[in-house]
Amino acid sequence: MPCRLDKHLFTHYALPFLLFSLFSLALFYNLFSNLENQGLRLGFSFLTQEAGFEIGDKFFFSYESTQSYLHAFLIGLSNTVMSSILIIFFSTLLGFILGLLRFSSLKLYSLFASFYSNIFRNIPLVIQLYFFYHILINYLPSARESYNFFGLDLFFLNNRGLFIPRFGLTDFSFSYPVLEGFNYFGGSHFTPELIVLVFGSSLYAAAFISEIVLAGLKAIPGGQLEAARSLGMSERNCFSKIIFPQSVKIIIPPLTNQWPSIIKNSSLAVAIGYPDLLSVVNTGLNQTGKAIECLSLIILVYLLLSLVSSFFLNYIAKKFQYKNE
Amino acid sequence: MSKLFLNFFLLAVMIFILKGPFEWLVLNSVWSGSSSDCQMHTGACLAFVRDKMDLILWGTFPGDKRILLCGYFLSFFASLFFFFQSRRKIEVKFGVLLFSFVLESFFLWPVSISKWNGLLLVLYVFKGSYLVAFPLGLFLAVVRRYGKGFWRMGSIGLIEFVRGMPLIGLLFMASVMLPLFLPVGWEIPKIIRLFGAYILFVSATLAEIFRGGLEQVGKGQMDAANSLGLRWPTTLMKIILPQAVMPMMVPCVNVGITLFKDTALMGIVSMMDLTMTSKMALKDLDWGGYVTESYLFITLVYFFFCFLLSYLGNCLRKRAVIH
Repeated sequence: MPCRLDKHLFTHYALPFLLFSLFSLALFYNLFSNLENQGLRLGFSFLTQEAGFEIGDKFFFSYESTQSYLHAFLIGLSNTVMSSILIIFFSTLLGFILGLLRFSSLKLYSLFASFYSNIFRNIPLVIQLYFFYHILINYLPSARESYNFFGLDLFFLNNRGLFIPRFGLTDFSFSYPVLEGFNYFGGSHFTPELIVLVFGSSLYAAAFISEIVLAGLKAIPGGQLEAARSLGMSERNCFSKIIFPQSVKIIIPPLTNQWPSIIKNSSLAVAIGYPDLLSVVNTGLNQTGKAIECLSLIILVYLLLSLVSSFFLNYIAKKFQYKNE
Repeated sequence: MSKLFLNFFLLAVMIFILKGPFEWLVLNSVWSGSSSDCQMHTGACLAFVRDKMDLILWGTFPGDKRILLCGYFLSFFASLFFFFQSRRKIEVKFGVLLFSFVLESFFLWPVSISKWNGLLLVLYVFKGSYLVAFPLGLFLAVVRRYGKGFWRMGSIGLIEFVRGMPLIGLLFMASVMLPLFLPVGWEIPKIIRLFGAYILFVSATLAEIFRGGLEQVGKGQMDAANSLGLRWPTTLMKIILPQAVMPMMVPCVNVGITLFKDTALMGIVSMMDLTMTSKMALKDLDWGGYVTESYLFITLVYFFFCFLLSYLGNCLRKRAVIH
């Protein structure tokens, strides 16, 4: 179609531009008059001020409550990213296991997996998180009576979280948790909030991923299996050499589409008080009252995250594209 | 032989895991009585749920006007089943949904909007935002597919912006940031602002689904309609949209289920949804904190509605396959 810019210049470009600028002008006029009325001023200078609140989970970074808001927000961002990676890993693993169970010829197992998926998909994630958090805080034993996994005195689970040994990769150090007084010291510590977030979100996302895996496995035509059997392959080889490799190519694109929603769902951490980006910024917002600045930071970071993840997903989708040779 | 062993293994694991909860919920539970009865047993205190059920479901909805709820639920379920089970055109179905929504609003009119708590709030927000979001999402998708110039760019920008944000961030924006952007002296109730956030979120999700539907409609369809001399609105309404929307009804129902689950987020921005009303019920000093029981109850409520919706959606899919 020939480009007739002169004819459509007004309706396609000038009119929407005019409307949009009028709209945003009105919004910003309102914003500034509102701010003037309330005696507030815009500005990001608060980012360098002292944050004054503690953050429980820091993964590899250091943070003190005397450090700046910017530092606290960055810790929140790293928490979001790390917890999302953990959730993606565990949910993919569990989702594949459940999907394979649903595909299996053992009726009891497929029944169990389909029950699981139907129950966990139909309950809001935030209520599951509330529930698990309540269970973990109130029904797990205290530090003195904590679960000692395998009797090794290395892994402990109690109502203050999970304690595991830590290996220093740079200095080859090794430390393991030891009970001193009412708590464990040394090793790595995962707070109950992180455990509940990763555990609950993984269970929830695994239910969806199991559906995807099942659909991918069912998409392989039955003739493939029959052909493999007629070649004399064992059942095990039929599955691992014929069915599974083909279905992986079908499974990967919708599976990776789940990841952005997992990253977005990790912001529900704010419900149970895990210091992810949203909840740290929300704390900062409540302390400083800088609503516009804080929420525009949130918008910026989440848009960047979704942009990065969509580039990454496009790369993966290209890599796993189903080529019909 | 190994199959038998595997089955027994799963059974053993299930029994090991579910034994405690089963004893707690069924064998040792207390179904009636007061707080002192519950303290004598080790099991679940379902008497608490029974006593506080009204409060958890309806919150501060005035007791003498509960009769209005009968009308509300009659209209709600009737319109729901009509939407899924009838074989009329989608326009008729949506007209009935819209009419029933207006009717429900009239039923609840005598009660102040701040007293629509618990399940009522959840259902009202669910239905209202889906009803508005469906045509809005369709509009966004059509603009994205067939729009020109800045219109198209604007649609893409809006959809991608909303889809990139987590819903809870949008809710925070609606509750904290939006009042600053309104003209001085304007006060929009919080529930309406949250409605806006839900509508935006769902319409962006639906727009992506409809885009998939629109892209499946062949280009020849449009050319054929043009060569017949049909005008652009007629082509869209009679040729393109019916082919684009009907195959996408099942994903649209799935978006509806997701929206229903997302209504549980309203508690985080301190609206009186089911989680907040259950917290209100837990404040009663006569009973003490039976938190697990109340969470189980609201879980059951959500599960009932989501399962109902997914069941009806399944029926829709089966019928679509037959045709």
